[in-house]
Amino acid sequence: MADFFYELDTESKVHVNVEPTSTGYQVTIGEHTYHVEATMIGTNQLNLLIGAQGQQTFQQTFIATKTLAGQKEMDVWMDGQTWRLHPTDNRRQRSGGTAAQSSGTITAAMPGQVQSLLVEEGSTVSNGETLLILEAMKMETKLTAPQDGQVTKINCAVGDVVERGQLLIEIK
Amino acid sequence: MFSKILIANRGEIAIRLIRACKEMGISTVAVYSEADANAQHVWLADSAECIGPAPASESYLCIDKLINVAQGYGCDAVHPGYGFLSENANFAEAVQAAGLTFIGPNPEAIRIMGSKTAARTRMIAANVPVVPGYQEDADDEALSNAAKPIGYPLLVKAAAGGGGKGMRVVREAEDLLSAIQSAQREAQNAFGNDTVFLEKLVENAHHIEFQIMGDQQGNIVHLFERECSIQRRHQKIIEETPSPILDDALRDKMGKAAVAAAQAVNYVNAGTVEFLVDDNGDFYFLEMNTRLQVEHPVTELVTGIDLVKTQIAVAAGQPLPFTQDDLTQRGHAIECRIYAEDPDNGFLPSIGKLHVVREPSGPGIRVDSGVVSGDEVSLHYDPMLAKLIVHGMNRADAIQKLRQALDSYVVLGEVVTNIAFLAALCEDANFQSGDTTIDFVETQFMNTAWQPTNTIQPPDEVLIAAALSEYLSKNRFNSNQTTPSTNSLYDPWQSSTNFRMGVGTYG
Repeated sequence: MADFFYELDTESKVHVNVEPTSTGYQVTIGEHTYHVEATMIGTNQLNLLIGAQGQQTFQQTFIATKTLAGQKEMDVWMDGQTWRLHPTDNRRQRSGGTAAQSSGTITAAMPGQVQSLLVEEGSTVSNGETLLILEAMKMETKLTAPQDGQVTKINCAVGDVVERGQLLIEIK
Repeated sequence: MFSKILIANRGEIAIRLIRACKEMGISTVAVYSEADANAQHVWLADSAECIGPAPASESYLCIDKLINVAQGYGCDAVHPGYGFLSENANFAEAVQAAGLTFIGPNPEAIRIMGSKTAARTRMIAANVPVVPGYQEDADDEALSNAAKPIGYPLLVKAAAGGGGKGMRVVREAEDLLSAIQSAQREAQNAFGNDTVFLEKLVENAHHIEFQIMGDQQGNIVHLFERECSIQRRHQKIIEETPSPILDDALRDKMGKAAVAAAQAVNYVNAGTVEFLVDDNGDFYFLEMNTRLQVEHPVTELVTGIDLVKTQIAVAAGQPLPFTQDDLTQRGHAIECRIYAEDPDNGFLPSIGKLHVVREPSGPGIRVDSGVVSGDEVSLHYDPMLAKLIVHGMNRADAIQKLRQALDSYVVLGEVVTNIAFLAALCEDANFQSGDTTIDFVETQFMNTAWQPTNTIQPPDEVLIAAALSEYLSKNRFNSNQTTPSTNSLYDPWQSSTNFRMGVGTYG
């Protein structure tokens, strides 16, 4: 038997319990318990048969797991929609959701290449000042200071390729 | 006919060009940057050569390198595709100077249509209706005076411009002067040329373009229209044909105007004449694109004509194999562009690995794709991964087909796409009624109908799939063990080194 937890982008956590049975798996989510048969096809396709014998629904899904800025993400495709899940464990205290921007940290809003760095460690900056310009696929994005303060740490250099959510600059 | 063509492009269009050449028995030479070493177009061509590091300016845009490869491999023609150097008159001239055929119009036509003001002048002379405007090289005062007869609202536009840069909307006369100065500054920075002109702002406009094709014998025909009003930030998302707002009379009138526009510059090969059509059914020339366009497949599906093969044939000197009367539209075609962008994150670009690509298929479904499972999407090029095009009996049928195709289109990995957004557009009542103008997406759809997935709770089946896939990957070594292991040191099937039978002891 095993327990899995997912933080959803809506900042709530859901607990899924999986128990193998003689005919498949018993999966419990909240108040609901499902009987499921599962077949993995290749590395990304998971076919599910959900429900009691004679009343099963067929569900084809595709799954891709990836790590983004140190956090594991799982994308599940089903019926034309892709759901982005964040596997977590029950113990860890996280500040929920996608890479949250706590005050004083500037993270990359999109993956890209650092085109220009307009400040240095020690620079004084004011709220709204442009600190860094990211470029990807012919689009430029300016990252600005969320508050007045001083740049304490710069974690990137011009020319670096960064991931979405990667911590770039810290301000106090 | 050519025996070998250099494909001066990458991605989905390079594949499209290579396919046409294969069908015609023409050899192909592909070029690629270091980032594209494993791209599909490289492997589909007969030969391929690396032309530099990832940035386009160091690879795909290097005219000298492309000419060298073409000559080195003995190519007799070059197809520029779209984007990159396809509308670069210098490139066309360099190809011709090297003794090769440029598959496209002559450099002169490219130059004229590349300047918005030069194009307008030519169109006015050819009696093609243009958006009322004023473009004499003039000082700010002359421009201000010219604005009165044009009327407000109007646009200040950069003559050398594009992509919305150097453009200002002016609704009141008192804002005109500062708008002119601001546009001039932006134009100078972006294009090195601060010349601006004035144009009436056609509101609630439909963007409708006509495909034209000319041969070297002077025949020019149009292959009907494409409606491109579903756009976001001046980027087309959905294109279709026929246009829901054209009747036969208007279509015929606009088609003739498109042909006249092409004739005015002695146009040869494929091109597209863009018009704005207002609520009164008045149409105005906007600009001409002197190349094949991204959305050409919708025209191919309703007319049954392969535009790329026709391009190659006319470039080789063959006359058009059809007249205007031979051409008809049958059914309805819709294309949507699959972009590597995240609608849940402001449509910002998304890059990285594609773990799974499963494209839809079936009757009337066409996918022009540049990617397969396992490909890496880099940040150096534009975000279009593929085009999904459907052909149905009528518009409603095509929309249903498009919806079903999008629902079975799987793209998963580090890259995220706009597929769900496109599916939501298909469901929208305004889109279904054909009642959309070029600001529909940004003003109506985004504010009302579109709900990003990260605000919706996933259904239990999704959570079941996630948990079971984690469970199965953790337990894969414990499941399905049918072969008992002997644990014998001398069991040859346990050995991880090689052994030879009948030759002494195991080593």
